[in-house]
Amino acid sequence: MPWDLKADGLSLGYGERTVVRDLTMPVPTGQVTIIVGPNACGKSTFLRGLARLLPASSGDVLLDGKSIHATPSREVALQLGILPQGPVAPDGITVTDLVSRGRHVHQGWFRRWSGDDDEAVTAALTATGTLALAARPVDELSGGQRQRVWIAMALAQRTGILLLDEPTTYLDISHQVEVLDLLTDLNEAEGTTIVIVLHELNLAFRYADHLVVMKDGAVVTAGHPNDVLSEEIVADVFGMRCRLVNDPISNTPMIVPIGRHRVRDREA
Amino acid sequence: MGVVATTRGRESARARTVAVALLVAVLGMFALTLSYGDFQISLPDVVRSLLGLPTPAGVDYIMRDLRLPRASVSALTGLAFGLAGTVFQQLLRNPLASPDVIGVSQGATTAGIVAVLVLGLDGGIVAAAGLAGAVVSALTIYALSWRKGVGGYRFILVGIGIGTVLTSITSYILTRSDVKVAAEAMIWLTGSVNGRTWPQIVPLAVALVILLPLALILGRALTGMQLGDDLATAFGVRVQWSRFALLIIAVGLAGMATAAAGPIAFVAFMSGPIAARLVGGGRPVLIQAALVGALLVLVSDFIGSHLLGSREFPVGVVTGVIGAPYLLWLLATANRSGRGG
Repeated sequence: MPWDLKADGLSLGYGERTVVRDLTMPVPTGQVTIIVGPNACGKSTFLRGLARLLPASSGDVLLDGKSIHATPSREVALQLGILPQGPVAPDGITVTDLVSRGRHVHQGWFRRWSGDDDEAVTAALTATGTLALAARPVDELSGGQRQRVWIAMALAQRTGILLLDEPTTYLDISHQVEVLDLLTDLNEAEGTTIVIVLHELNLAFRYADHLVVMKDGAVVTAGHPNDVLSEEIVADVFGMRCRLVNDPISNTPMIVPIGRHRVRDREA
Repeated sequence: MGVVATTRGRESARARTVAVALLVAVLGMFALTLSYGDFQISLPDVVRSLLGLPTPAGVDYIMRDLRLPRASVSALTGLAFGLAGTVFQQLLRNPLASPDVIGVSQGATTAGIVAVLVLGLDGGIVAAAGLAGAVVSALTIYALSWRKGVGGYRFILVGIGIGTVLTSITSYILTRSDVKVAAEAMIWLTGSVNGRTWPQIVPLAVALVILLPLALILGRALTGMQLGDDLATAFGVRVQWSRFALLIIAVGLAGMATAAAGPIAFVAFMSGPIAARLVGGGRPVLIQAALVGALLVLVSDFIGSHLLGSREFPVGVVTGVIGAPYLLWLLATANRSGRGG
């Protein structure tokens, strides 16, 4: 069972600038949470704060009821993994070596690489469909392959909670769906708590058990997409008129944007 | 066996093979340095002299007072510079971030020059001064580039600035000094392993015995930190603490090596990338880089003292001639591929 994760009156910022303000939100354990919001709304900052990559300027993040900053970092790393946005691989590193780095916390000065580690890396490569690339240098991979390798690295850490910042960047539509399916598989098979920051709204509405809509560093609304979304909320948060229609595949809301052009007369 | 175990096994085997081959090459060059010269000493006599067995007349003197100090200081400074350089480059994730490019070696140099020319000190105290100089300049760079943690680029730019300031101070002291003394200091400034004595070598040997194992133990954090601070933190590495501890170790090595033989140009800068090229893959290669450093200094000193005609050149001239084009190549290609440098 994954540990509980909760933001408690959390404020985050860089220097003088406050980006996330007094945010309280329990992350539903064992569910897929997806955070959406316009650019610069603080969603990535919030995710980094949840993963203790940023210190809280006030408030706290509670992991299993205890302050995440007061918990030894190694202990946190056994429970919570994060894939930041746009990670950079060392020159020349092979796929196997990169994914093996995800096992770092399971190693120690006295605990060497073992069969368990081989098994975890192999499983992560298999789950992401990258086992065939195992011996290749990461430099030589396509953007989509590279993204899946990074996800494999995060999976290899085998944490009960997994946070991902824009894991579908650089991917075409079929690979975006593939990545979200893969994370849903992980959630269903292992009960992993998953939190994703996502740009692609229709996929977010479809794949979220729990949707968090953010604007200006605060949560506007949170809950199942069917319960919390309205055209007014989307218009307010993204500053754009739209229609919400029913996604015929998943029976969740689907956004149809309304711009200035290509609009039938009666909509204008 | 699965593809993961096979790939990992292949990478480990190559890293081991390279380390062993480098060690053999270093020992070979060490033996050659002891044996070759105006007065040839056969390898059996070299071994006999090292073991304290009876040898032909003159051999013991040349071995113990001239060639053994020279070979030892070459190997030891090479090990220290190679290790220090690669630790810096890995920590700051930038091939330019070696202690001789940013101001750390310059700190040791300036302190050494002050100790010798201004205060008239020598021996072990100069080593201590060099170490102190390296530590002070490193701490200054660290403090000036600190902004909620230390990032790579700021550290390098501040380091280059500090290095320039220190180089000017060194030049100023040299111009104010007696010409003859300044000329001797210039040889040390170029980096020379000639005429070193045991009191200059022993402190470096002691530092290596302590700091090399420490670097290898703490180097485990590098496999996480190579992926950036965020992922290293995600893996449970205490990033700021590990970075500080590793930097202090590397600064200690660079400072002691500079005090012993002067800032031998570009050894710290070149060793890591050469070792990485030899081993392949993306692992941190600490031992291999240290051995490449030792080999570079031994080979360069051999070239400088025997292969460039009748004149002897200090080792730093040779490493400078090799290193400068590499620096230019790195700057040119790094900018072209958009990675910066």
